[in-house]
Amino acid sequence: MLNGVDLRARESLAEQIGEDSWEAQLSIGVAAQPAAADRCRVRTEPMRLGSTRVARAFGIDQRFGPGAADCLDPVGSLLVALGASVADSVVTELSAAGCAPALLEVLPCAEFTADGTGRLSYEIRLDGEVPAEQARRAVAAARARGTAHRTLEEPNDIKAVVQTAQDVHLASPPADHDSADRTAVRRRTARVMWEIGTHVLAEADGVHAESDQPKQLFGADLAPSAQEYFLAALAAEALGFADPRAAAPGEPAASVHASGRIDLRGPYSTQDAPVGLRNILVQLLPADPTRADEAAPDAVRRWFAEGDALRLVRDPHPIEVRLVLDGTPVPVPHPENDRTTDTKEPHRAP
Amino acid sequence: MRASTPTTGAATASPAPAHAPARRVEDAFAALHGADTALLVPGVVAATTATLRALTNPGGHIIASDQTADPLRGVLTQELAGLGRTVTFVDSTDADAVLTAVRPETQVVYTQSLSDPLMRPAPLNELAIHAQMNDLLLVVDNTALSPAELRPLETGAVIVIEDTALYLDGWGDVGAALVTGLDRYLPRIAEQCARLGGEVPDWSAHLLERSLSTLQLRLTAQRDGAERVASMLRAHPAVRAVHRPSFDEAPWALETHRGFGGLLAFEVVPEIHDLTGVLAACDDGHTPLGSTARLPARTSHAHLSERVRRELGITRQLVRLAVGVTGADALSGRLRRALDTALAQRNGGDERC
Repeated sequence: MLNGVDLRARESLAEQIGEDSWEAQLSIGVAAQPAAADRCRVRTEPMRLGSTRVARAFGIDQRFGPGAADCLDPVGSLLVALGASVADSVVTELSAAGCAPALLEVLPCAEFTADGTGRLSYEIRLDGEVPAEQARRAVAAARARGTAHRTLEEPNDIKAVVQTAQDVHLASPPADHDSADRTAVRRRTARVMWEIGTHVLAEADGVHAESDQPKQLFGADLAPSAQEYFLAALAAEALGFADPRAAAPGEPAASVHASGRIDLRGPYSTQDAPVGLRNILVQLLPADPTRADEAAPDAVRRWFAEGDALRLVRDPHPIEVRLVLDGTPVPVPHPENDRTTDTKEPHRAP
Repeated sequence: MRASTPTTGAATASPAPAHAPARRVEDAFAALHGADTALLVPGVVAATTATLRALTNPGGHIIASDQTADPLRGVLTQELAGLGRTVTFVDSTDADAVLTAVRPETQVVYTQSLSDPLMRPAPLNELAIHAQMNDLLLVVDNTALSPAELRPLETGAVIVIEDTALYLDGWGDVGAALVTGLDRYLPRIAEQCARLGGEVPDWSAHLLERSLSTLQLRLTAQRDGAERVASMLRAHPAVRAVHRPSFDEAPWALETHRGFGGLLAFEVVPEIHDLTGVLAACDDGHTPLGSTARLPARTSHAHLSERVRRELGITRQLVRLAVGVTGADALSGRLRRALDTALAQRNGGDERC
């Protein structure tokens, strides 16, 4: 085991899910409920991993919007998820090559233009005995196999259900905005520091967070996974638009459940399978589900139109990646110009 | 504890060399269950604790057989609770009761293949179907039957644990346990075992290896002996109930079981309070392959309150008997005489009253 990465266990999983595709399906869910005036509590739900369950009871406090506070807002959660996922991919690739970095940091950044269109980038900082070529391969691995990277880079159909007397089904197809040449008016950053294995410490706007994978996916069960942060961002933001009021004691409160699925053959095996989070579904249960008015569906439609985190996940975003090795920037080939390398080893298991 | 496969995680103890006694025992045990790999662990409580920790996460829920006795019961209710797991005890011989206990965070169903001391066989076929339909892992303690009578992996269990004390080690020299099952779970169990520490000495492993080769022969003799003793007990007026499963009572077991091992339990009539003579009659003079008897209410289940014991069906008159490899007919004779004497004393006492 190097860097806390159990390569043999990963190889075993890759072999197993290669043979039994149903064992590769990981279903993840979170549920958000208002906790105070401007925030909610998101609880992770048991995952389904193939024919088994992964039960972890973590809570993530989330603000509904930006502003100084002591917990993450939805965009902050997305940045933490991106950094954690990238760190996992990078350290796995480096471990497979026998490299033990002294430091690995990921600095994700989201910029928003005046019309709310987002741009994403991240910088990977590596210190230690890591050859430049190997570091470039690790960056390529993060691009190719990083769940969060691929989810944010690719378009995603997000579906929502408002559970009232008659369920209202809504869909939000991805929109392709070209924000490359427009001026950013808002900028959000985070700093994700790799600890060991899949465990990372993160900081966004002065708020500290942790992320780790379940032990079934080679983590230590120390904190919510990157994918759970992803869904927590969507659940919290949807709840903020729909009904952020905390209920009085004894009264029902609105709640939002967000779920998604990953085919582990994408990030973990050599097989050609989608890498990102798929089948993203957001279910809103209003405080009074018997009311059949349009308030709740309208709130979800507003979220579809205005939600920053939702648009970052839903719409495709080319992600700029920078690499800094021992304090020196190292050029990273753009994936469009690096197709030879990419096609040779698109999803190579470590 | 050693991990016997090359897929074992690096956080575990170093894999034993192929020629090491521990490795040979692990391979032999795995073969008896039709598995590829196994782990030799110093003690069944450590083996079960490591298995349940490995297969669950903090926040996970375990459904365990209500026949689980101390010290494992204490581990489940205290140590695992401290690690964020919750445990619900149910009658695991009732598949519907197990199904009712399933929660969203349930991960594992843990049961004995044959409950000890009430000798109720768990319907593993049915439990495995429920477990698979609910994405749960079925873990079976097969100590009371051994692979000579039942191979739980064939019914759908994912992990099998066995204490060596009852059958695997015929001479009673080794205190250890063996764990086998699907390859994908064993490295995680090995990692947990390594954290718990301890190792089975090579000499013990060597003794165990020799015993395993005669398991089938010993179990055949013990099974036949237990049947003969049970027949005698059923006909005796001092015996109120005999707990010994049969294919007549559990016809579904014809598909899975070869027999029900050498264990049985019986309850004498409540009027007989002094069971010293009965216990003495079961004693073969502590010969290694002989029979042994105990009162569960005073030994394995002494930690429970009278109320809980009564709910579980463990009365003070319940005697748990492990029939030895030899001397079943002699045991029947001694036991009959002891019961006759106890009955006569009771009748004499009644007359005096």
